[in-house]
Amino acid sequence: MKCRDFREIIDSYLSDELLTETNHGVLSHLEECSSCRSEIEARREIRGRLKNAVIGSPEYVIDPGFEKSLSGLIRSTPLNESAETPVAGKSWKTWVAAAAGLLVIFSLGFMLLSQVDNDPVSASLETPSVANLKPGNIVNIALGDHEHCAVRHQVGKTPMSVDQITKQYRSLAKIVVPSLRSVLGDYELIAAHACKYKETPFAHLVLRKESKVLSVLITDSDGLDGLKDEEILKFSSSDPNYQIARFNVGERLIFVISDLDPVKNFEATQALFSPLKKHFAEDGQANTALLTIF
Amino acid sequence: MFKLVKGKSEADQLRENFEKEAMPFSADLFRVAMFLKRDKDLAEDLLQETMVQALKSFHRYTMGTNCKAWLTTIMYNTHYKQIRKQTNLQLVPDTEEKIAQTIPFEASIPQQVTDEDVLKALEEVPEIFREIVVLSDVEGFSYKEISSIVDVPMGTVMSRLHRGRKVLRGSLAVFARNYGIADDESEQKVREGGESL
Repeated sequence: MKCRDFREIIDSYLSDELLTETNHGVLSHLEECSSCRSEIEARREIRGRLKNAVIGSPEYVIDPGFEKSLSGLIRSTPLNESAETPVAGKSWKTWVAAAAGLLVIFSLGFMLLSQVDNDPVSASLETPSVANLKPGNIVNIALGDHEHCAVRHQVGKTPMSVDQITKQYRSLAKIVVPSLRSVLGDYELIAAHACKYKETPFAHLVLRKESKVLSVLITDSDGLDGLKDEEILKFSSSDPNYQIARFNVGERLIFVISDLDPVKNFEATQALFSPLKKHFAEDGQANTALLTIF
Repeated sequence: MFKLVKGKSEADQLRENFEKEAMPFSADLFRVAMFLKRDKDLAEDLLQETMVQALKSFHRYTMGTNCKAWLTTIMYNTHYKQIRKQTNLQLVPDTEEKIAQTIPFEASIPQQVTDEDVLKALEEVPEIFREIVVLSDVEGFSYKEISSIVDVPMGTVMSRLHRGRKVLRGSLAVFARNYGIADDESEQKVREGGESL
């Protein structure tokens, strides 16, 4: 093993994350290389110092009074039936019956929804569950990107005007923002950027209204099969906080992900369908601008 | 005198197990909460909500697995839910790559810095890297556990950890330099060669 190779895995070695064979290689190298021995000791020392500094700091020590009241709270917190009964204790037949019941309810719900829907853009009756898709599926990736940028890292603090965002997104925002406002009210644009999640690039617009956050994510379909124009496909998420809808304009996939109720999220997607279709189909300049993001 | 003796209900047993398995981690979880909230009251609120949620979900916990990792995952999920409810969103202007580009060179290692300096240096590590460094180097979680807690791939955990440690080391070197400890010559080598020797 050379010093350069060793430096690449030194952190994993210190974290005890290497395979046994690699560990042997590291130990052999350390026996003959004083420079790497010094390096590893230095890193080990920093880790030790860091741990001691944090654990020893009064700032990070739990208040004994609070700890006592927390114990009291845990003793007095009521445990409801669902918590008292272990999941494994329930008969599988109970779960199958419950799942079948839910399936009927959801199916009826979506059939009713599609019947009252007179818009030219139809929703698919199929509502695939994100949980049933492979982790690498584009829908899961889009959901992950929404969570990463818009929910967890909250990319923007103050609302942006269309003029404040980069030229690259201006024409897109000029379409997305008013279209969404027409059905959702005063949603404010808080971010417009290019981002990448699990190697998938997105053009990402984030809008907010009070605590509600909505993402419009655009990416390339990358040869995805089964795309149908004129159709908005809805996906149910295992996390009830998220609603996901998707449509495509040619090779572009557009996702709308939000914490709205399913009907509102669908209406928002519908509101974007025609304007974005026109935008991507007719505005060659906008197309070119967006392509540069990818 | 008579004493009523009755068998424990499932709820009593669950609570007893929780007190035995989970409650001893309160102090560790408070530290994690402090790193997430940066405020004592908010950290206590987060810890309290986490423990109540964990108690209610404890029937799903598999005894004998890493309870601290399980509780920390609940804490992160609770924290993210709280963020979602906030009306004032936090500003995180830098992307990970942009932060990574600003990471200083790897400097020589200081020997005589104080614990206070170490904490100050940790504060200078961008949050996205700091949380991984803390979960790994302070709380002792494995890459796999961190990946599950923070919900990012293992490769991302490794790269953030590497970058976070590098920033920490660079910041510590600045403190050392202020004490006149750092070796200017070795630092120069680092600048030129891009790797500490």
